[in-house]
Amino acid sequence: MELMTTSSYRYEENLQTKIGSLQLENPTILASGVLGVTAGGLMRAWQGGAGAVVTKSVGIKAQPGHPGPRIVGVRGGGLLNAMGLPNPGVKKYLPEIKAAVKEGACVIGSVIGNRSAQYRKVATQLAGTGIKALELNVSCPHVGTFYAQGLKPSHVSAVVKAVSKAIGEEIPVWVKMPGTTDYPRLVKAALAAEAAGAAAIVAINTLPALALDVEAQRPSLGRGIGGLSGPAIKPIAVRAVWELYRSELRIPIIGVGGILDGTDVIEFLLAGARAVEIGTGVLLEGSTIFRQICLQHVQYKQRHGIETLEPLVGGLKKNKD
Amino acid sequence: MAPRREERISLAAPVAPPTLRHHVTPILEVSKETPKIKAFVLSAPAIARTATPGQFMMVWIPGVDEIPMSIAAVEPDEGHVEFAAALVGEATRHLHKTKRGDLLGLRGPLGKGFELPISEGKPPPQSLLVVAGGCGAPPILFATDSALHGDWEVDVVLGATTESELLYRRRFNCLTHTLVLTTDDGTAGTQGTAVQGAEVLLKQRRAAGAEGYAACFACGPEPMLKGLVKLAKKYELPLQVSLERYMKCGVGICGHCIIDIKGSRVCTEGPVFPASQLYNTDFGKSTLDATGRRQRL
Repeated sequence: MELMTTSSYRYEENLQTKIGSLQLENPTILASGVLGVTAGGLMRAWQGGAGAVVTKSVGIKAQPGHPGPRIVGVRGGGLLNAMGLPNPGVKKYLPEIKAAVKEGACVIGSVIGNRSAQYRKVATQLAGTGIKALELNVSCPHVGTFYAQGLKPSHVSAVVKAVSKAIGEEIPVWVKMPGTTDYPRLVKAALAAEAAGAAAIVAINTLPALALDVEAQRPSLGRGIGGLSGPAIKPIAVRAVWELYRSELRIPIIGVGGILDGTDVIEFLLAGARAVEIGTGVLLEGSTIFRQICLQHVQYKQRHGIETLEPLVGGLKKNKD
Repeated sequence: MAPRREERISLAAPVAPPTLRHHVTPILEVSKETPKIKAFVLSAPAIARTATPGQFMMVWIPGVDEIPMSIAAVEPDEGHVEFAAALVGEATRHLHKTKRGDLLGLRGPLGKGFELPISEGKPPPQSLLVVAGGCGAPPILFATDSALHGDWEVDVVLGATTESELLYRRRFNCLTHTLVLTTDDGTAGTQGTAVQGAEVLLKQRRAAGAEGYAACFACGPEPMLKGLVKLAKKYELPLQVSLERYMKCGVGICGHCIIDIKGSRVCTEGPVFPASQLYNTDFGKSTLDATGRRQRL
């Protein structure tokens, strides 16, 4: 099947999904930390068919991140990374966001910080750039105490409250949760985010992991530990989405973890996600992965006789005995 | 009867590709090529077999960092690869301290290299102009060697600040008859820039009524490349340049080396770009530092 042009699949194929008040033209979103250092990187994914693109996580101050190696592939379909949240600081990053917004991309700003005050300051600056939502990264598994904090309901709640209060209700706040198999803790933290005013939960970030090089007899990554992504973590991510969906959580869920094709996305939708984010898939399938998935969804809809993707969301609940 | 081997079912993907995992191997040889530049030879058969001129490797200095390095030479039969590193920062300071037997990790080959144009009905030999400035000589050495093997005629311009910094001078000399040297201070060859050296060759060729070069490959400091792009336009020379940008992953996922609004990645679509693709990019204008801050060139 020939690839359709940007405009046709994006606007005519009934793949829209709604994350609260925000409508996306399709459910595929570029995950934070992938390509998004510059406007050009965000545009690469946008032109590749993404329904939205999430920026690199930015903080108050410029940070170089960890020393290399920063990524390493592992057998079994996994990628480990320890980039270390490199970013130019929010002020220097604003022109990149504005340029991507000007080009017509639906941009989501990703924020990191140590305390709620930092999240608030960064969020306030991002709010004026034309971004359509903010994603709070409370879950990087290889920088300081970020990871542990993301599973602490009090921390999550404080960060969401501080940001929501500062930017008002116009820009929805998403919270990106840590990768974990401790689903009850994950659900508790997500419920805290919801109670504090979050508009959506993004699950999951990379899982804390370690890979060693046996010739060098040391960790394969410069930082030592890293975060695992890719197909290896998909079942964990699907379970996380399902556990969130079947809990008391009422806000939309965005699934992330190991998506390589349209069937992976449908799995996430059935488990309860309304959209998905894709990171490692961009490396493994190229930056047109978003468009490819949309085409597969068009075919899936035809095969199952459905007009939109909407009836699939949470379908597992209906079909479960 | 020999027992039948059980059929193996594999759920796991094959081992990660050589672009995503390190081939860790001892250094076979370190040589001081100039006061600032050392060359390293290692055994990496898979890279030596498959690398093309202009491609690069991510070189891991265990415990220190990982940095991109253009491939300077390969010996496919022995499985050897060579790269050369100038002393520019923390990682290369450690690299310069390593000696024979120390371990380095290599990922690659990465990126897209130089491409010799396919001759349309024209019999060889065709002529190639290559221009190397400063520590940009390694990929040009590889390209020169490879083109000569393909029966091309290669004219080389090698430029540096001063005579002692003319990288791979002897090796270029062994390879080609036409080696134009330029130095900023006039200690060797013509005093001036590599761009001026290239223009002398282009003028000579024009004056002699000879056919123009079928292609020009260049690597060096960005102001030099910028000058060459202008020159190429003037002489209608099909130019390919190898760019350098801060790279963090080397495989096109981190986005740190993107140079335009379309998202062209130096590590994946490059490092070698046709000059025609460099309009409306950051080429000659800006580069990102380790944090992602834009720095004017």
